[in-house]
Amino acid sequence: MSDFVQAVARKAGISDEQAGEILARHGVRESGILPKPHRLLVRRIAFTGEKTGKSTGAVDFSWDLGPGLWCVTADNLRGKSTILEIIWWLLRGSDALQADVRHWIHQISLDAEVDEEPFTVYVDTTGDQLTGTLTVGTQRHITPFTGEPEFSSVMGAFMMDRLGLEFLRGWRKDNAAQAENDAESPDGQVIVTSWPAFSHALLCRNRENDALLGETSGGGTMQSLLQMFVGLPWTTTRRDAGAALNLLQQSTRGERRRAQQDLQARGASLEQLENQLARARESAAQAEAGPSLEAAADAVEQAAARLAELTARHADLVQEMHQTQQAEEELHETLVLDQARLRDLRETSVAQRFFGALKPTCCPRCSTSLDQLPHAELSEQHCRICGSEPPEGPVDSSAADDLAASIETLKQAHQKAKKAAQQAVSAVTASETKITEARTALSVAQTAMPAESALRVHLEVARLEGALEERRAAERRAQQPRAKSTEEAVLEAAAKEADKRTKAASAALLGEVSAEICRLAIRLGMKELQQIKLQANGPLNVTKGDSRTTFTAVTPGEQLRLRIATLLALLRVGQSSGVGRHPGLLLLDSAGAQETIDVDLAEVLSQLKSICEETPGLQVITATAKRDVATHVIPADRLIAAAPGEPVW
Amino acid sequence: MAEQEGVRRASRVQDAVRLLFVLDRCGASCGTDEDQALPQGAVGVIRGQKRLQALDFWLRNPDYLADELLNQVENGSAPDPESALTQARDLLDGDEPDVSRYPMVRWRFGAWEPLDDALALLFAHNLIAVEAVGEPPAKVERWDYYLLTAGRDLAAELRADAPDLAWYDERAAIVLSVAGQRSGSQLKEIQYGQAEYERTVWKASISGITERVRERLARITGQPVGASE
Repeated sequence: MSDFVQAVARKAGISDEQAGEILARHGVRESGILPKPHRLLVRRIAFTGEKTGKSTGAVDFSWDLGPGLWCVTADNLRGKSTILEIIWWLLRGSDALQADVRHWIHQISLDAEVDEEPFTVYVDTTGDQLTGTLTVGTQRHITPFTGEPEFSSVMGAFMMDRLGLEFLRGWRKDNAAQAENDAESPDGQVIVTSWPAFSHALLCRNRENDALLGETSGGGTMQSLLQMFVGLPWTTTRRDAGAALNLLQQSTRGERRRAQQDLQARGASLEQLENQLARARESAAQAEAGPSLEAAADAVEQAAARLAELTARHADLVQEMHQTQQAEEELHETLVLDQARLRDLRETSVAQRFFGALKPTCCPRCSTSLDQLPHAELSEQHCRICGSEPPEGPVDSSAADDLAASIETLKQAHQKAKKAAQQAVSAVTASETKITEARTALSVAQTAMPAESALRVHLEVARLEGALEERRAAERRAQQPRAKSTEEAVLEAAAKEADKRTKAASAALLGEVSAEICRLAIRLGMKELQQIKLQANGPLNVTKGDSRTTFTAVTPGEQLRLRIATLLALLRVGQSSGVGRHPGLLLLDSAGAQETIDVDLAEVLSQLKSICEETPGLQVITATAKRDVATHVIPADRLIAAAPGEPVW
Repeated sequence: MAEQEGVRRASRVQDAVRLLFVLDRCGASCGTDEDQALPQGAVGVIRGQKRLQALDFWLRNPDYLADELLNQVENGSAPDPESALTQARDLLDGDEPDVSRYPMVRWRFGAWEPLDDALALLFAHNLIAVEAVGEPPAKVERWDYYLLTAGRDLAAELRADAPDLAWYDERAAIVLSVAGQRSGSQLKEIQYGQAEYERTVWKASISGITERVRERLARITGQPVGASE
């Protein structure tokens, strides 16, 4: 774990691992050690084409260059700036050429090298779309491109890589109108500084411009460039942490805002939900007080089983009852029959005894008197009507006695059977009662089954609990006090720590740069200059003639000198301290355009010349309309000079 | 005693005893009517076989007899409702309705059974006399059955000395109290109207109407009636 991560972790009060993880997740890079500077050198620029319109004729220009000061001089509007712009365009991949000039030029070829690795950019503009190739190294590795965007992308990737540049992330706040609904901390967006922006460090033009470095002063571009050139350690880290923190805070603010809108959109308040939940829980508790579904189902099952058992037993009892009743009935029938037979036996016996004692007096058929009947003379014992003999011996009464005894036995048996039948009937009746009870019990058990509504009320409780929790979470998000999240704390700590380290590292460096700017600017003609103070965040304080002013407040001529001085100073200090990363190529356009005195320009050029000689690997290509000065100061082999009124190409 | 195809039949002497008591108890007195040519020694008379058969039916079907008692209790014609109810209860008690029942065949215009043998037995012993009214043998309007002195004497003797046969006498007394001196046609109408439904089927006449009458009695008296032993 690095010293930086440990410091951040300590500040944020969390573990080193956690801090490291958060920093990595938010892409906060450590830049305590800067890569070594790289050198960019233009070897040859050549282009062909055809002029049209007022000027005509074939174009075929080429210029071989090397380290040191180079110059092209011609009258204004004779193509000297175009040469610088073509060089810049091919290195950059993005167009900055005037339309008519571009129309004239058909094929361009730029030979250059980075740290002695040669590369060639070739562009053909004759087709519908721009085409070209980037050929790199001694192996002549060719990367083709078609169209401006691809050209820009290929050159950007190549230069960023070869020059060891890092994409710089910055934060640009939205304007007030856009950030109206959150005045506390306006929203903004991350901007990335890449090669098209960095490439401004190669060019210095005498156009109306407030920026010390680069195209404009806004968006932190200048700041980025400055830090880039000076090579201040930890600036990348600070910018990364700052951008990540802004992004995180914006997303937090956005989340809170959305949560608030969400809350307003929802009808039910927390209180309403709580009341609903309380009611639902009450219902659920009532349902809970009843038997559980399992218990109720158990009870139903048991009641049903008992009913089934009783029903089965009842069927047995009914059958038994029928059997005993039938037995009883059969016995009774026999008893009645025997009683009737006994009565008949006894009555007949008795009646016969009485009638036997009587003496018939006549024939029952014809009423003839017995005296006149044929059997009248028979003995008293014979029937005087039919003459039959009287039965021998006394009448046998044993049959009646036996029957009577049998009837007694039958009566007892019948009583028994009757009792059994009555018991069977009672048993059946009792069984019927039990069955009725069991049936009632079953229906009671079934009624006790928790209704569907009981289940629904449980589901309702669960649903409301979920809704309430969600609602509370939404309120927490919406009403969250500005408590810092761990991530915020870590990023803040990282930004502060990086800032601290940047300041510590930059204080000395910026002092050196400021002194160097001051020296160089004086050499470039600002004789009254007393002190320069370059601040880490960009502003350049200028003290001249005992009064303090700023870069933006001085004259355009002074601005140009300060710009050149700054570029050179950053370059020289960076080189001597080993932390600057300027590629060492400067394109200075119309160096004397702001000047009215030739001597001043001569001074600038001679100073540039000696600065180039003092600074190894520096290549400065200048363009000026002051032909006399140029030819005076610049050796002929380093100068392209067009005759008065003639074009450079 | 005789049983044919499951139908109980009384013995001839039982028939004779029963008819003797019917004549003794239910016959109309005839001793004072000097104008009429009466058989010698006649003390009572039942005029018409229909009346004799109707009286016999009630005597040998105690459930029908009890039912008629209840009719009279309900229509107010019973002279002594209390005793009528007691009599009905006794008639329906226990196995009595079954044991003292001798089913009759449903014949043409009512219950009927050939009584010739039993009457012959009584006649041969000079206990009764049977007279044809009209111009016999071609045209007999009615048969009259006379109880003779010897018949009354035998009835008195049986009443006193044969307890097994006493119930015929008691039952005949109840039959008289129910029937009075109404004619055979009148009695037949009563019986027929009442028994009409129960006798549509031959078998029904055997089983009788005991249970129905028991329920009716229970309703009237508010007390359970039956073979409560």
